[in-house]
Amino acid sequence: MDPDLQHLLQSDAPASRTALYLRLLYSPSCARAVHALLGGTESCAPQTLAFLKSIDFERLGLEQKARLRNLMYHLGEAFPCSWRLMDVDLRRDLVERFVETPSFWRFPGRSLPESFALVAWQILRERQRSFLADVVRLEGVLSGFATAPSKAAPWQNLAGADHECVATTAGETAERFPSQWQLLDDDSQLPTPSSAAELMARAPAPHRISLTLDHDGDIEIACVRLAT
Amino acid sequence: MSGVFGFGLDYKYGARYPGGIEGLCERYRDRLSHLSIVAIETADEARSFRQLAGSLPVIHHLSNVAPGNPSGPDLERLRKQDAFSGILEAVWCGEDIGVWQLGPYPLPYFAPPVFDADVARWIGEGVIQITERSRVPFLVETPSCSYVTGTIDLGEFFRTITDTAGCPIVLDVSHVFSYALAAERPALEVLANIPLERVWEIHIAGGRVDEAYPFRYIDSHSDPIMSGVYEVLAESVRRCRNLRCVTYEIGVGLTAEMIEHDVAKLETILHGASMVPDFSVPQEWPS
Repeated sequence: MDPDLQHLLQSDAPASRTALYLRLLYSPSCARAVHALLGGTESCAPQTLAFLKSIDFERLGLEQKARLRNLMYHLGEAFPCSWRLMDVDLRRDLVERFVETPSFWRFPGRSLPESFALVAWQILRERQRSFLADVVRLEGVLSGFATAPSKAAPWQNLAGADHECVATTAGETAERFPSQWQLLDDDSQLPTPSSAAELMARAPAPHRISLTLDHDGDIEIACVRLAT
Repeated sequence: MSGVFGFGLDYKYGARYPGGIEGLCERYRDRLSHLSIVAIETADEARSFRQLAGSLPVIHHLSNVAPGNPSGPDLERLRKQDAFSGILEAVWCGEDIGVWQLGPYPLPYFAPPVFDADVARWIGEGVIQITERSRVPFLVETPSCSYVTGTIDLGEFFRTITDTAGCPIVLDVSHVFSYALAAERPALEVLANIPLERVWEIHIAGGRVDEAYPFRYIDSHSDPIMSGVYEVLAESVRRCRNLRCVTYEIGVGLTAEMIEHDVAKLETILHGASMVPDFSVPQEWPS
């Protein structure tokens, strides 16, 4: 069993029970583990056990589905471009995987969408969908950077995700990361499904994506092709 | 004739009300007793809303202060929100009791608390911290429930919180209705167990029942008010002897006609119950 979950089950503190309840509201694997525990011999704190016995697991499943739909909607607001480039099954798959990862519960991103992007970027790269992975990353960084520009970017700790946080000569804060793709269309806009198809048809080449926070609080995104 | 109810408005959706937030308030100004406002995030917004309210009393609906979060109340957020309460000249403030945060992030969809006695006492202790720092009374609001867990019922839960913290209650009758559906109990029976003597304010809003799952209430604020919710309102107004006001919370997506339809029904019920809004704060608060 996940050590974090085990810790919550062993505690009778109301804060821990509330944290356990939140996990149950989002994570089907957590609900299965807890359901199995109720029929087994593994120990659990007494008041927490009483709470677990009060759960209607069938209705909990309905609640999880409703919350998953809501989370997809919520993330869609932060990933307008990425969402248009995915079908609904892929969106659901990524969100279902996200809620089952430590990222959902340990909050590595500066915002919830950035935590999602950290997970989705890796999954999409493993599936050889690097263009979509990098668009998800761009929108995730945009969300995190806009939420907490002074906080360290979590991408710097992620293997294979080169990420720079720099101060520009004008004293602005900027973040940069590399991509093998031109992630903005020729009008410097995030791609639509049709312009994405055109961009993906181009041969991969090194690009640098920059997000710059200006003195008015606006974030400018740029994509520059690097000399090879 | 002075109004018998007030509007509950969301500042961030101001432009999406019929006629905008200003147009809506102007249209109903003579029929309102007060305004309640949520999602004020800057001092300028607070000043702007105070000006819009004119002579109407203002109630400040907080969000994400959350004594029910696993990390306890967010006292830094309270500090900022409390400053806005000052600018708004709020008569009191309040918040739905439940889980608002997922770690450092706002939860995409609010969750009601685990209905256990020790959870209620722990939340009550958090409410004491809020009350000590708030310039106006802090009221605990009954939460919307699409799913219910725990070992005690809504009424006992709120009795425990208020006995611990000595605070008043915002009774959201739509939320009581949602709890009753989820718990599969008659709504008036659920109501009867709530410490109604603690209720200062009643909230009501539109919603609907999930067609596939009749035990799930969808607290949309964008549908008409359900007839079962009106029944809970009428009974609550009759039984809450310290009631001070009734707030109709308006969501986006309601047309001017839908709002007028529910306003007329509310006025009929509240005039029938001889409702007289009162925004004075008792000397002995908190009790």
